[in-house]
Amino acid sequence: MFDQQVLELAEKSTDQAEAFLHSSSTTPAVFQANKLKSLETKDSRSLTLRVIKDGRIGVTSTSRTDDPDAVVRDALASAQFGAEAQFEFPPLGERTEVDVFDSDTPAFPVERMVEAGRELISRLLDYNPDLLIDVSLDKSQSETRISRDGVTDSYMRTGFGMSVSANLIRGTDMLDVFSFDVSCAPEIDMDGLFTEIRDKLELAKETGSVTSGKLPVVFTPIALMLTVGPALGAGFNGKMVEQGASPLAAKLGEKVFDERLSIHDDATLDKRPRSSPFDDEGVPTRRVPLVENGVVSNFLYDLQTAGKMGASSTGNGYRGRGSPSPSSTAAVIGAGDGSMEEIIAGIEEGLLVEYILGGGQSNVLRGDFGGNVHLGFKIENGQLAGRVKDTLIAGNAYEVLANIRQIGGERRWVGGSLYCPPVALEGVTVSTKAS
Amino acid sequence: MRDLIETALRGHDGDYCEIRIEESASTSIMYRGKELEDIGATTGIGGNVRAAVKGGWGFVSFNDLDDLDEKVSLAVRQARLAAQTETRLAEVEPVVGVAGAEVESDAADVSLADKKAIMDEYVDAAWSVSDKIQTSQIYYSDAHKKKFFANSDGTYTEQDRMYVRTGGVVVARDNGEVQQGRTSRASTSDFNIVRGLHGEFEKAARSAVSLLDAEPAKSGEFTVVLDPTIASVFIHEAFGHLSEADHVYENPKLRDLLVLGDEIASPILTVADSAAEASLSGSYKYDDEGTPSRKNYLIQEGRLVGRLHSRETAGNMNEPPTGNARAITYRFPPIVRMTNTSIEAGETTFEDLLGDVADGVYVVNWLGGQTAMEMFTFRAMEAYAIRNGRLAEPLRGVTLTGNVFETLKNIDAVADDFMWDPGGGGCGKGGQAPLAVGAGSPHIRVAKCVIGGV
Repeated sequence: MFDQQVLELAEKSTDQAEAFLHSSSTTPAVFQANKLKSLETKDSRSLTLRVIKDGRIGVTSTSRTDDPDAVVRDALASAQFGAEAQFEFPPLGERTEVDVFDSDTPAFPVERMVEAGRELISRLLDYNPDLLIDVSLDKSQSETRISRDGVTDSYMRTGFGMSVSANLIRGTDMLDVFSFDVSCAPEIDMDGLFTEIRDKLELAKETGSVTSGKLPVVFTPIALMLTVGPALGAGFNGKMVEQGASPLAAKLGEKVFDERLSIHDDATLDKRPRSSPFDDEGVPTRRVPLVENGVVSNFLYDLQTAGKMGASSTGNGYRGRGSPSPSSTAAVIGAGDGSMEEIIAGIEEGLLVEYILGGGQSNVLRGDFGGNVHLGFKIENGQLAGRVKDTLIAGNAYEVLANIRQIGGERRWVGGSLYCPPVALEGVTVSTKAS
Repeated sequence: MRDLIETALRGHDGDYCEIRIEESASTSIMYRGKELEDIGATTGIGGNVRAAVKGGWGFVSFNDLDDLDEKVSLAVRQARLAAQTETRLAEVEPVVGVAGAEVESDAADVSLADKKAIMDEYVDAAWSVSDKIQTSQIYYSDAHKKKFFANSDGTYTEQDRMYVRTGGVVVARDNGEVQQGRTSRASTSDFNIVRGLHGEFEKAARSAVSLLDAEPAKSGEFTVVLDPTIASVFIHEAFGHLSEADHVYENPKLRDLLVLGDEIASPILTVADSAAEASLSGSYKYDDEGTPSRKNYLIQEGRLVGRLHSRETAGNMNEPPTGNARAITYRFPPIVRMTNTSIEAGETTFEDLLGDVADGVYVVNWLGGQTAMEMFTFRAMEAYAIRNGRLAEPLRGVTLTGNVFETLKNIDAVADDFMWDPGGGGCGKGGQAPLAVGAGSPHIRVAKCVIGGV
């Protein structure tokens, strides 16, 4: 094994060494413009060697397997200037029980993926033959293997996902509607994907316009991910906290958010594509409460950042390759009350935002979000009243989440990274060309 | 390598087959705040086989170069499963070509210690500006990539490329207000662009600090003057992506909207895309299908005159191939991408262009941009009010948005001060990001544009 060979060499010239090997095989089936376009097989593998030498961290990554000496040489060069290690490697071998491997996934025939894609496209075309539909399905399996101090621990994970986007052009008006679903097992809610696309297209048949100003805005789970998501992602990132760049840095234990808001990060949920028994540093995963009844209760840490803060890793050290950094796995927002209809019913004039364009472009550290409403509907007297166009929204995550209008009761997954209900917020600036 | 690839291609029984192998070595240095966070090298090798059967594609990517002929058969088998009617690839004269990197000063000749010493000074420079600097992310990276490519038409190319880039974001904070400034420099030929940038990093830091006191922008419709950087982002994002033929060729309605010869922009607007420019971020000699690069006009004096193609889109639309099939790495099939996209210089001076504006907004540099077909939105880094032809107070939080077709017609002045953006850009499409692209423009003015403030 190349990773063991490299590790053995590295151990001779460093104080501590760790090999992180990630390998994966993904099989996507891609449909474009209503037709099957390509079938792919993507295998990849990369080795990251992390060493501590004279108290400094050295890191290098490679996908080559021909020269173990060169890998160690690169790691030592890095350690010459690298950051001072603020941690000691914890012992490997501890893990959280979580089911992320489904043997049906690797065995799932490509032909059935193709059939599923064709079926969804034909159902949507039966509904509206003018649609241009892109569908992508993929199945994957990966292995994460960490070795240090003579111990190796590893886990296998499978993934299965399907995404669909439908495009409708009328004159110079273009409408995009999309949806997606992922799991570790080949269990995709095809009916759910179909209904969601159809319902949104149906609602978008009418157009409406809202008045500029501060209006109540209802965010779907996807819209939350695209707006307040990047801001909170940065705010709870231990690295931002350590730098003092997070507005939450000095607010641990303080009530910053509406008391109905609870958020945790959770990599321990079965069959979720971002769950794992341990993180990319071998630290067991756990459910990490971030906001409890509006109070900031934790930040996300990897080993190095936790070391600097005198805290413990929360099992959130992730990396593609190179050094790990704190990263959210799946953010889970606690449910409130009420269906989407009930949330909307209470609003005289407002906006329902499905998704926005340009969500991460604002001053994310400050908590700002903003962008063009990619798909959204006017709310008038408690009813949806047509698709809005040329409309921008802007706000600040910390302000709008301090006094929430309503947290919905019905949660859903947005890909693998967010599980939350729709949320109605006040204090969002809406600007539109029409007014 | 040539033997290995060409031997593996020999047995294929698809309509078309190609193999691309890439070797890479890169260095990066990353500071978070004043502290060095990451420093070191990454090396890689990998490749892919792509095959077509009756218009369907198979694609196999790998790190392990063994048994290439089996990978060829797998790709062809997959293509056969995806087969439709026929494979229509535009004819390209087969070439055998070796293109070395045109390097004046090679990053590989500079030691890691020297690179770090240069960057240490920039971190100090940015932090020396004000005690309101809260944090920063300052980076250096260089990469050398060698690509080997062969296809079943007899084309074989080898290309070397060096890419060096430095820059960063500096964040200032005061009384709960947080603002950022950015800078970047990139080159495919000269390591020395990394040197002597103290002033640029100080400028980014000063910009962040001065935005702390800026007024929030008003929302509404304004006359907007765009500096060359944000104008080039605008043309890339708002129009450039629509000129990528893969969006167009299977979409009959979009084809109706984008008919060559139609007037789609103000008659003072000319736009081109060219990978054949020397040494810009998006420059190359052959694209990832082995098609030679060239300069392609997209808009000439307001008329749509061309679009960007892969061999497949060109073949399907009966238009000439343009050499725009690019893949970010061997892990992806090539798709139609921009290279170095530019708005050509006009005749108005920058002063005259401001002079006619009674109440408007001047936007400088950018934080990001995105489009969904007709809709675009992007965010300026700095902005200033324009009053009676003069620049007035700084504004913060300016987002521009609109419909591309309307906005292209609303461009009512193009200045004579063209420049290629020295920063180098990274473009995202189809999960392939950031792909190195170049962009250039003079100052331009848009008569009516929606601004959303925070």
